[in-house]
Amino acid sequence: MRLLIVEDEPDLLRALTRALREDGYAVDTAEDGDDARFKALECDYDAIVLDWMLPVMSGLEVLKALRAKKQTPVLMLTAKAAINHRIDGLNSGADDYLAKPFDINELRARIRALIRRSSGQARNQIVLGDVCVDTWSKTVTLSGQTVALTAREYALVEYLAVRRGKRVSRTELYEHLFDENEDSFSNLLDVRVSLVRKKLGADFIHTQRGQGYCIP
Amino acid sequence: MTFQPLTIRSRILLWHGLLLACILTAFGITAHRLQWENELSRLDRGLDEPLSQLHRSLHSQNNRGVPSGPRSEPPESYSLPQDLAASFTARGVEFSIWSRTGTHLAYSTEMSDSMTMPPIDGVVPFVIQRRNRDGLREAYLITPPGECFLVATSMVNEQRSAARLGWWLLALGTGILGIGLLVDAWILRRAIRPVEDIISAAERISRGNLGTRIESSAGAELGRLTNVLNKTFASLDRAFTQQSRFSADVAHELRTPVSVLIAETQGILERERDSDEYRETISTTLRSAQRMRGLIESLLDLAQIESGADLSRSTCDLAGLSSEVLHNLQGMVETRGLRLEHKLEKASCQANAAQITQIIANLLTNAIQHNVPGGHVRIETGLSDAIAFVSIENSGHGIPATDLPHVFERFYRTDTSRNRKTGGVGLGLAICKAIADAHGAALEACSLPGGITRFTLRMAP
Repeated sequence: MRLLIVEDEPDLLRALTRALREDGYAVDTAEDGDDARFKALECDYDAIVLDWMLPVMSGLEVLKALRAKKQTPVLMLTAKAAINHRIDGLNSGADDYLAKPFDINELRARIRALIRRSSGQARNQIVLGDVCVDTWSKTVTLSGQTVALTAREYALVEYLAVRRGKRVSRTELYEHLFDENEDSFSNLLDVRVSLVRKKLGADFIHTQRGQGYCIP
Repeated sequence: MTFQPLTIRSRILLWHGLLLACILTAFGITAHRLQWENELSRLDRGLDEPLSQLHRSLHSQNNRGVPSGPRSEPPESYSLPQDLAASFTARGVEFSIWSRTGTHLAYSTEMSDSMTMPPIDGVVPFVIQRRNRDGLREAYLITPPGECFLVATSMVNEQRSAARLGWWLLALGTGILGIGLLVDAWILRRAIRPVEDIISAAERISRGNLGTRIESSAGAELGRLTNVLNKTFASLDRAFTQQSRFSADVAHELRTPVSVLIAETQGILERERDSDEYRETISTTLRSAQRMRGLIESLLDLAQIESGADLSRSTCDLAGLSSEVLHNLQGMVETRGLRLEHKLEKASCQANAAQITQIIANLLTNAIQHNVPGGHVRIETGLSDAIAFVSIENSGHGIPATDLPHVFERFYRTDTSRNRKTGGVGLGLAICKAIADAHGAALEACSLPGGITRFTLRMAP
């Protein structure tokens, strides 16, 4: 899953980025409204965390520009805590609103809920035969036994699991599992797929030659 | 049960009612009395003739054929002549006669035998005396020898009509009182209405609806009161709005550093980290804490300046204060590669040197921080129209015209974000303005062509 975090306070941005990267998200960042709009329109993020008060262009303007073209889930994370601000934010197209100061675990839960809902899931568990993916605890079990996956491996499994039965192209996987700072021309993805197959069974991820991957 | 004090309206109504009741009672009693006396004198006039007829008839019987003269013998008996008796009966007149010895000589059927003679002591002879007795109006006269003639007539009818008049007057009086009170209440209600308006407006305000104003419908006195109260409400409203906006601003300004603290510490505590990560987190939290400290200190400064305390003034020279500040900020100007121009002429004024130094330092720091590479900062002091001034200008991006009127507001930033890169908590200019206001000085900002911003402080003459 790839997120965009827009926040003009560098310390907070760094703390958020670290926490979400440790959760296995690919995280892009933007420190002003203009950059945020550009990135949000350019990439298909799984969710965007958006501050309201930003240099150059306010978060609300970014949101309106984004909503004219895309449906990316947006969570507004802002110091504007008043009820009317929340209403304005949600009415302008935000899917969720969290006021600062916030608990980082609540932010995580809300991001998870946003992504879950936007991918059409209602539950945190996705059952794929013997394998069960829990998007809340970010664990995968095989026949009831927990399988130790790295955060990046888990991200791959989760991305394919929520799109089970659908073919997912390599490009799409690169876009959603790697952030802007990573080299998308490496064979990291193939390495990761083979590691997951070792842990969850060779048939767990099918390769559709030249087209991408799929969990049947 | 609690005792509710009477409202002004009910008190006025009560007093008016009492007054009206007294007047009506006095009027009623007088009218009733006049009417009664009128009735009595009518009865009296009706008795005068029978009395003289009775007197004449007794004398004519006693002195039959004898010329008038002093009588030696008291008459032993007497009987009323037929014609007189008939006329008395027709007129409803009763009579009684006593001899000079006090014997009851004759009386009509309605009079009692045992009835005693009226007292004769001190009664002037031949002057008609009158009295009421047992529902009868009586008139009597005493002759010089001591005989007594008395005629009487019933006054039952008169008493009855007097009683009727009394009831009627009572009813009329009550009616007038009632109507009077109603009219009074109506007038009072009209007169008191502005007061009621004021009360209800004040009640709404006390419930927290500070936007309420009194609808002015009153005359001179209450109109003035209304205006005064409306002005007070307006300034209260302003003060509260400012206060609550300020509190919201403070809360808002604290949100970001607190968010950083929580996010950083929660993140770092989740698992084991290496020492570099710990060091970085601790320095981040320290920065946040310092920012909060800066905010608190600035707020305290502002509160202290606005309270007007510690404003001891002395003669100071703006040029001297400016060069002191310049000396301290020299390093900052050089590291940014800015050009510093100064033209410091003596400008004496009465002021609090520490606070004026703070203004100059704040303005100069802003001028240095909001500058562009290769830009300049210019400071000038002197007298203009005998008024000491200091002006500080800098090159930069300029302040948009829409922002100029707001730059001295607390937490106002020309950028919609709270950009931390330039530091500060957004209170520097508000503090400068508060100091200037406390000194009665004028602090103005203006934008000049070429992205130049100039702040000018003019001291009070």
